[in-house]
Amino acid sequence: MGIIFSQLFQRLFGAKEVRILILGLDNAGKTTILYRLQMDEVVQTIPTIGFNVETVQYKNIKFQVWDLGGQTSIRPYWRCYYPNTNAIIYVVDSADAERLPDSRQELQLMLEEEELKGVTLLVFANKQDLPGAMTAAQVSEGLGLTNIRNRQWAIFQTSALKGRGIQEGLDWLVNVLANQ
Amino acid sequence: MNAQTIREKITAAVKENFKSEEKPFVNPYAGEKSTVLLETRAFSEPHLNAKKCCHLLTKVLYLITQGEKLSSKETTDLFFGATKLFQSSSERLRRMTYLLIKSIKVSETEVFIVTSTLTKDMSSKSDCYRANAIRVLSRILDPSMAAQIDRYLKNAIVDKSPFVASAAIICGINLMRSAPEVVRRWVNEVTESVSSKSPMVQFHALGLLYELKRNDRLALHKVVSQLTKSFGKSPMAECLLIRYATQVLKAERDSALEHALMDYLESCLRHKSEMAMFEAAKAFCELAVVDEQGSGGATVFGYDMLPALTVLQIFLTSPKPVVRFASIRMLNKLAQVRPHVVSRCNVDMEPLLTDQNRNIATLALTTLLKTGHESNVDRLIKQITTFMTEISDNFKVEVVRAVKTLCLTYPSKYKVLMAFLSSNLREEGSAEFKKDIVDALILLVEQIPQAKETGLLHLCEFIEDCEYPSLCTKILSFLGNETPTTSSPSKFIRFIYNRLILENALVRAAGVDALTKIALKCPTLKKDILTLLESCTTDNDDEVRDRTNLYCNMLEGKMGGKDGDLLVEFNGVLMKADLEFSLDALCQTLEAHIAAQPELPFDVKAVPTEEAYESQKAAMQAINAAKQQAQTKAKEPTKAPAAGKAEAPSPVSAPSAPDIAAKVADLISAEDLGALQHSCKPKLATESEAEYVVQVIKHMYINHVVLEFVTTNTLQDQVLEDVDIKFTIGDPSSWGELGRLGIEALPYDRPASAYVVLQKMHEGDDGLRTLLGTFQAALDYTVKEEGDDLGYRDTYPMENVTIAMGDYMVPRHLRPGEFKSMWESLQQADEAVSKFSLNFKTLESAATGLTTSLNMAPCDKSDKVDTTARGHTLLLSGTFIGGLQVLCKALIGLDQSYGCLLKLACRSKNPAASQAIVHSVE
Repeated sequence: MGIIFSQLFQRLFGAKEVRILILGLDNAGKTTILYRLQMDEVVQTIPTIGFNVETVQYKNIKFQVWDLGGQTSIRPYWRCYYPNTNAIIYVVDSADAERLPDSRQELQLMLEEEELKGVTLLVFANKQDLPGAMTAAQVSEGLGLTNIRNRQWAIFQTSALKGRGIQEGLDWLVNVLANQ
Repeated sequence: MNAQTIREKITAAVKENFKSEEKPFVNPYAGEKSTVLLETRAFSEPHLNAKKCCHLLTKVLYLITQGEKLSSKETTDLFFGATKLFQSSSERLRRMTYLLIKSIKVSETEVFIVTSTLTKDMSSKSDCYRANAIRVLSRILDPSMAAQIDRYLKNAIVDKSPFVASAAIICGINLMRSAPEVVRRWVNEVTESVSSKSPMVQFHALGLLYELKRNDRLALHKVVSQLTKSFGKSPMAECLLIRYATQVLKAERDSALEHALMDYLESCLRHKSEMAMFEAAKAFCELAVVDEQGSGGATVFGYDMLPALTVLQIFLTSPKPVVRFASIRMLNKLAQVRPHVVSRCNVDMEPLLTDQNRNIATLALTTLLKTGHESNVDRLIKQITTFMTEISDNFKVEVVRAVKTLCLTYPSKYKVLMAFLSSNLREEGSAEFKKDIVDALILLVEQIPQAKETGLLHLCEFIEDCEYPSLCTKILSFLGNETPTTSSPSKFIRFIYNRLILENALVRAAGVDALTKIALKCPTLKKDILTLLESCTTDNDDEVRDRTNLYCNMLEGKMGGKDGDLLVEFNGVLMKADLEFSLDALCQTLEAHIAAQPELPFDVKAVPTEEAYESQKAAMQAINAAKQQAQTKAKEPTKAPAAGKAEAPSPVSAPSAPDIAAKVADLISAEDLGALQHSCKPKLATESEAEYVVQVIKHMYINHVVLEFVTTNTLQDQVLEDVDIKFTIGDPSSWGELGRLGIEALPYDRPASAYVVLQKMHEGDDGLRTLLGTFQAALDYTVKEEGDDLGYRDTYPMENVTIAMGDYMVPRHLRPGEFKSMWESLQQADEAVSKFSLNFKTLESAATGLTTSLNMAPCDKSDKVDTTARGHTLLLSGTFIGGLQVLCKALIGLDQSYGCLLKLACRSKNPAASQAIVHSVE
């Protein structure tokens, strides 16, 4: 009897599970964000060859977070992980204005994918701790976010190193996902 | 109630139980490939079911182990599906995922996707994750990645968990192939692991340590001899060490080292573990093969073989079949080199003849046949006869070989042994088996004179009822050669004649041949044989009838006068074992001869040898292909590539004999030139990317050499005109220039040939006309660039043209094993031998260098050099100018103080040629 009760309880009030991809160019800070989310710590990272996957519990939602490597050689394989995705966190190095057009192109290509149609997009304008970092508005302009009409999206200024802005972004995401 | 009764009861109960539900067993993991692969889509579902995925992975692995092949797309899909399983934290599922990734062949461009995940797992807390991740990583690491995670792997080697440590060491063994320099940095850790408490780690560490040191001879010796002194090794590691010690002993003769290692091997004979004891005994046996001085005697490197033999002898009576098998197999091998030593174990081997395991029984038998003494041959044969029906054909062949050698050792026992062989001919058996017996009988007849008539009669009996025509013809031809020297040849004629009446055309023809040979050698029988042949003059097979008529006419002496000479010659050809010329060529030459000048006598000597004919034919085909290519090219000249110089010159093929004679007809008439012996391979005389590319082809004639310079202009905007070869002869007493032919115009990318005809001025010191020489050559031409009508004269240097001894040789490829018999058929007296010291650094380069400089073909795979050995034997075969067959045996050795040493022995039917070839190496 106890088992049945606990299973029922779990179904009613248990964690909702969502699948999230963290994408972006190489050296944008994706892996640092992943472990900031998971352990709220800064870890030393090396370029991700392939992917990292972790489960993160946040506000009664169980996030299954996939951090895919951003190097040119790995980008073609992103699409293998698109199916069944609930949200995308797109990370941009705000201090690297030079490669912003590259980042824009990758983002546009990705958003055109059939399998990601309507998927919520959360953009992190990362590395705000660096001098000369662009603001959220500048990054948004550079990526062409304002043209997006067919999905919910938001942009946040973050610093994974200092732990700023990530919490706010995630709160927004939880809010959106909870209402879906 | 004792244990036995309990067991019986349980067995009965279990049986009963199974009977009640007599459902056939269904394998839960078997499935169709497409269905299983479809099911694996479950890997991508949002909520993973770990248990279900495990089951699916097992199904896929089952498919793969059943030999099912996955296409590259299927592999890719499966692999990316499997990567999604890394989100689960189920340890069971993770382990299966590792196993799958290791088992499917994912392409290098995709498999790197799991690198990050695996590196993370490698530093996980779970032993299972660490060990398995390392194992998978070792398959996918590239050298740069290996260097990055070097530190983790190093720590893993000395990990507390033996599972992890072993995995890291195995990773090292795998990496030795791709990134040896990384693994070399782990020497300290690996050495430490060799003395690990875990037997598994010890075993693997020893393996890797050996890999690390194997190229450093001294270090390897040090490691091996050090390790042999330390104690507490696991039996597995001990076996490995014994093998390494054996290898060291085989490779090097150093008395101090020998002493230490042999002491070690001897001590291992008293090891606690059966496995190590056997390995040590095996080491003794293997070394007995190497140590030729101890051969026959009972020692190996001065150590008594007796303890090793005692070990094997005890194992012969072991209750475990595998131990008995291992022991008898080793004794069988040893018996091939030291039968006397093995004969000590005869008492224990004889009971094995009735062993339940037929493999053991057969090995025992063949060993006994090798070690058997004259006195018990009869008893042995009796035992085998009952035995033969029970064993497989493979073993029967073994037995036949053993009986053959036994008969050669004890010729006086030929009656029993031949009777045994012949009785087996009458039994059921494969063609291969029958052929082996016939070969054995033929060999025995040739080797043992007193056995000749018995053997021939056995063979005659066999052809009376033989279902294999090829064996019949073989025996008939043998009878034709051998019976004339027996006491009463007439006895055998009946058997041969029976074939003429009863068999198919192939055998009948062979029978006619055999009878004729007998008639030619035994004049007294000529008349009788002619009567017998009569019946075949009306045979309904053309071949048989033609042969018979020819032979009859020949035997009756109807061909007189001029034809008589021909008869003698033809007689000689018939009696000879092999023809000196190609039959196809003979036919072609005869046709040409009849068409051209039927009144002149035909010269058999003008017919090219088999190889010369083949090479001519190949050249002919190549030239036709080239002509066709040129035609298609000419049709679309506008499409000439604009790349210009980048294009490599197309290979030039040698033109056929009449072609060259026609080309140089202005300089020398075809009659004076004679027949083309052969053409050498084209050789570049300029660099392949030069402005003008020249390839030289040497066409060899008896008294002349025609040099063909195939020239290509690779500059698109130039045309060369009046191209001539500037040619300087250094030694006018040996060579004379008869004339030159230039090229009128040489446009872009249209190869054309210039010729120089050389005459040999004397016969050479040995009358072989194999003159050597080096000539300077250069292109001399007028360059006209586009739009330039006048042009200017220029020269372009070429490399020197040399005529070496190798140019007088054509490689001749032999069938495996043919070298030995041909070598032996040539007289040792005609052998030319000489010793040289050469400037090669490795055995391999010496072997290739020698092969190319002599221009001969390596035989019996002797061009494959064992890089660890100190010496190598190279077997070469070639056809020398004039169709002379030449064989060379080269012993090459590397010595630290003297460098590369060569002993070259050359055999041919012409001693002068052999001498010349040997001296050409200098």
